[in-house]
Amino acid sequence: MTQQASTGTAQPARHAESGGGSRFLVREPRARVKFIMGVFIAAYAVVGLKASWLMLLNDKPQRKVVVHKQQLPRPDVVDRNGLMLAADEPRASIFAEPFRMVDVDAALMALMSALPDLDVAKLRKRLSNKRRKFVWIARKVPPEVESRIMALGIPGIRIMKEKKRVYPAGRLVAHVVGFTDIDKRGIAGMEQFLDNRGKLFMASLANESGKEARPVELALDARVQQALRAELAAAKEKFKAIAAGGLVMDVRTGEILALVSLPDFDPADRREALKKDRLNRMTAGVYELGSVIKAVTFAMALEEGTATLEKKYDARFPLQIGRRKIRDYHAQKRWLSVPEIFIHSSNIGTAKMALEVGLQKHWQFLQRVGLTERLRTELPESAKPLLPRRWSTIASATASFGHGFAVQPLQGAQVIAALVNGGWLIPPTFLKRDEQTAMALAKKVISEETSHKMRYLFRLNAVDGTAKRAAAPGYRVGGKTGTAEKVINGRYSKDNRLTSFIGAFPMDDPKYLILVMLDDPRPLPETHGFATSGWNAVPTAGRVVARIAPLLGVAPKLDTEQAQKELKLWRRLHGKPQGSVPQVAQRQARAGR
Amino acid sequence: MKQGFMRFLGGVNVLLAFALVGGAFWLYGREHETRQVERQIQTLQRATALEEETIRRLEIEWQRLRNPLRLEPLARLKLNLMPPDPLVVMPRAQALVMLPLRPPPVEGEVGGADADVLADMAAQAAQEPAAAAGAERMEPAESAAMPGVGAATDEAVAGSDPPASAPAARPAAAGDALGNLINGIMQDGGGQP
Repeated sequence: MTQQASTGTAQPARHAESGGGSRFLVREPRARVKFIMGVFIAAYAVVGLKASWLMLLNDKPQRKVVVHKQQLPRPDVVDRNGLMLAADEPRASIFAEPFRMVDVDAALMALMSALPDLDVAKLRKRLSNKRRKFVWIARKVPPEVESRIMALGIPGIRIMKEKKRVYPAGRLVAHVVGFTDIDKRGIAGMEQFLDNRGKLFMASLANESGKEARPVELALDARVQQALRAELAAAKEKFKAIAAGGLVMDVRTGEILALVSLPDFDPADRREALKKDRLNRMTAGVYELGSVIKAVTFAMALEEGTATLEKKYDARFPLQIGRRKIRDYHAQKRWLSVPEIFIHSSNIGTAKMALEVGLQKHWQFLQRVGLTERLRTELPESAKPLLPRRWSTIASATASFGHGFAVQPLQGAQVIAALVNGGWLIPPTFLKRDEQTAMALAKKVISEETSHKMRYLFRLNAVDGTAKRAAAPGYRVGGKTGTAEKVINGRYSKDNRLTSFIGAFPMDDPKYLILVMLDDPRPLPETHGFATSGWNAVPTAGRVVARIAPLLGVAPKLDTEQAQKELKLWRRLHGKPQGSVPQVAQRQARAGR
Repeated sequence: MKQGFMRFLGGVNVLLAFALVGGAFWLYGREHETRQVERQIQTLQRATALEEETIRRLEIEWQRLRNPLRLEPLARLKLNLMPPDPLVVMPRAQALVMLPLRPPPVEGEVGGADADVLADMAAQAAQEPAAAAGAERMEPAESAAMPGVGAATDEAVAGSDPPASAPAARPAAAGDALGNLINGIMQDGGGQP
């Protein structure tokens, strides 16, 4: 109460005081000026202090904004030596803004002079519609067309900078590199890998600014690729085959140095690429590799210990299982030792070896080496293996020599690489990889000792068996041939074959694996009417080896008797060398220059 | 006293007005300059971008020209080249031995260390008479010419500077024919007539 009373009494006094103050300012002009000055000084002081605080003291680091780019920069693709296989090329795209255009017909006439294959009727209709804001005229034109259109100076026609995906190596690597659509989305090959499963990998290549990226380094070697492609193309032509394919792989790292599938396509021509016969036969097709698979059976039997190199099997009579009879192509009609079964490619002997191992273990071994499942590499094109519907005695017996059981050729190559490299099954890759990484991914499938025996068998087959005509002198090639009858209208055809050869070199310490496959090669007079693998796929592989071994740093050893024998056979098969630069220069020198 | 002070203030005022006008001119001048420089920067940036584009285009063009698919037919047709015959492919050390004698190098031209390494390699190769058997089988003219091809596949043989001491153990007759040939080619500039 008393407080209320006291405030009640105080109020009038304060009123009087404030009233006295304002009256003081009115009465004294100098004081008023000082007051206003004071107010301004105070206001500016506040502004100044705040500004200096912001500028000098408040030095908080700005939080970096995470940039979410819609599109990662698309990296170049290069081979293992840096040769460019795919790249972004700056190109100009031409578009029109119809609402800005003055004379559509005149503009079209002018455009025709620079772009002859323009769809004029369609464009005229679109450009005449003045409500349209944007019409593409031509996309990603070459620079000379761009400058010509710039020079024309048509109102309403404008230019936009874009990037075009180009493939400097063209057909050479078409199946591996693949291609993109016009908006640079990968459609096939490594290009699709970069957009799908390889997205993280692609992001890792981009630099901090997010504008540029390091190139994707492939395992491919363009020189090896060219050697393989040229020889395969020649063989395809010579033997009138429908198709040909091949690959070269580093057996210690699983890197694919070359992969060719003919017919191939020009990555710039999408229509050609999508034709049915242009598929990548090495990964997107499955084939009965025929006798090549026998090597797997041998490795299994030797590993399980049911067979030794000295053991003999009765191959006198066809093997009867149920209603089916298994016969030999090169029937020897006698007891054969294990190496003999290998080099004569005896179906009977191989089937007996497989049956001795047992159904269960045979299947388990196929599983272990990855032949029962789809092999996935970076390439999106991969086919599932075709397996026997029921794993019975007859299925096991025929699968032992590669019948009724089809896999990707690359899968076959992977397994054979494991058989010769000391038993390590290494997933193949199209990206550059070192031996350490490869070993981290590798799986031991057979012992070192078995691998050693397999090397012996492969080499023996090239010295004395069906792969004799590989004969790359001194390069110590070894391998297994395969001739499978093609299925035509649901039946095995006697006259249409798929021949293949998988080998490795140098066989004393295998470094590289080579696979050659010919689809339906025809017999020739010089092959004495034969069209089995030994007469076409094998010599082709030999030629490839002789070309790529020097590139890969494998020197020939010519000081052995076997090498001299091979050299003689080589000369008989391929003739003498025709000429070379020093010879030509020498001829000119002799002519008196 | 008071009037003098007012006049002083008036003077300051005029001075400040001039300073203001002067400052404005200076500021305007600076801004003009800045804009000009900005325009220049833009022009340069555009020119740089254009040059970068051109460089990129030319690089792609160059890679297109380097394509082995294109080079092989050209090499066969224009240079009469072919894949090396197995007989002419040999390890680098062996190829070194086959290289011909060169005139002794000018004092201090070849690094001592390099020369030693090469000499060692040559000596090593001479000790193991490896695949030479194959090479000797051919006619003399051919064997003289062919090692050049083999050596070319093994990079750095043709490019490196073989010191005079290195090929001490080479076969004399074959080497000299090749030596004359190489010297001949080198003298008239890559074999052009």
